[in-house]
Amino acid sequence: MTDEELMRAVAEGDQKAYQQLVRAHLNAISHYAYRLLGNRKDVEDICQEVFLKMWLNATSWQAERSRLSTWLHRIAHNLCIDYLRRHGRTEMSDELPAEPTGLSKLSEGHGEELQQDLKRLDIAISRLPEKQRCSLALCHYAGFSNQEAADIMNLSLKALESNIARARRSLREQFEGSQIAAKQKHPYPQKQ
Amino acid sequence: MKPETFTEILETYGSKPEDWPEASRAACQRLVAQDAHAKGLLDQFERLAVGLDSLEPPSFEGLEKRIADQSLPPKRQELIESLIHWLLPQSSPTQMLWRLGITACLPLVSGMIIGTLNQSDLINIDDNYPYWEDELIMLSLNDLSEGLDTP
Repeated sequence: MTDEELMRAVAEGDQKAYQQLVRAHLNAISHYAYRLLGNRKDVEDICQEVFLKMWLNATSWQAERSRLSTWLHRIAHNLCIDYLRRHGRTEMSDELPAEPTGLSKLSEGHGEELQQDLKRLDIAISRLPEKQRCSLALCHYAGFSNQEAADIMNLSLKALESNIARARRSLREQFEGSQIAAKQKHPYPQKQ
Repeated sequence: MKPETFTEILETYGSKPEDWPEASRAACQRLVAQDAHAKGLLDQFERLAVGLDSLEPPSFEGLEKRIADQSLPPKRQELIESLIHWLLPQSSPTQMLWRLGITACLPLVSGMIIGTLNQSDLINIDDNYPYWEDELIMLSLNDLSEGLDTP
C-alpha cells in the first residue's frame, strides 16, 4: 500500500495502517530529531508526539502538496524547535551522549587519531547554529532537496541555501583544519 | 567557471555531481579535470561528506514497538469536518457526485420554501373582498359625488 492509501486508512481510524506508517517512517524521524536534539530520551518523546499528531491530523495531510515524509519531518522540526526554545537551547550539549555506531566502524584500522578527529566533527556539528544544523540534517542526512528542506523549515530557498553553505563551510574548515585530517593520506573507507 | 562559483556550488549542493545544478554540472566537471585547486577542493568536500556519513545516530531499540503499540485516542471529527467528508468522500469522489448536486440545490430549495411561506402574506387581502374584481365592482358603486359642493 502507498503512503496515500495508508493515510486514508489512518484517517478512518485504522490502527494497522498507523503501525505500518510508524515502521516505514520512524527511523528517518528519530534520526532527524537526534541530530537536532542529541538526546535519546527527548528524541523518543518527540517521535511519540510526531506519530500521535499524524494519527490525529491525518486528514490535514494533502498528498498533492507534499510527500508524507516531508510532512512528518515538518511536524518533527516544529516540535524539536519548540522543545529547544522551551529549554532555552539553540545548540546541543557539548557532551557526546553516546558513541555513534558508525564512528568505530569507520575508524577501525585507522587508529585513535581518526576517531578523535571524527569526534571533533561531531562536536562541531552540535555547535552549529540551529538553522544550519537543521539544514545539514535535512539536506545531507535525510536526503531532501534544498527546496523540500526549505519547505520543512519554512524558509525561502535562498535562506536555506545560505544556511547549508555556511554549515558546510564551517565544518570543512574545522575538519580540514584539524591536525589529523591534514595528515590524512588515505581517503576514508566508503560506508558499506 | 570561476573557482569561487565552484566553491559556492560545493557548499550549497555538496560534493556529489548529481546534486549540482544541471546547468553548471558540465562546467564544474571540466574545472575539476583542468584545475588542481578545484580538484583539491572537491576532495575536501568528499572527505567531509564521508566524515559526516560516518556519524550515525544510535539505534532506538524498542521505540518502534512503543510507538506502534501506544494507545491512540479515538477519532473525533468536528462537525464541519464530518460534513466535508460526507460531501467529498476520499474513497470514491466520482461515485458520490450526487451529494455535491444535492448540496448545490439546497439554496434553491430553501428559496422556494421561504418564498412559499411568504406568499401567504402577500395575498392576504381583506376577507370582505377576496377578489380584485369584486373590489372594483364595489368601488364603482360608491357615490363619488358625495361631499362635492353643488353650485
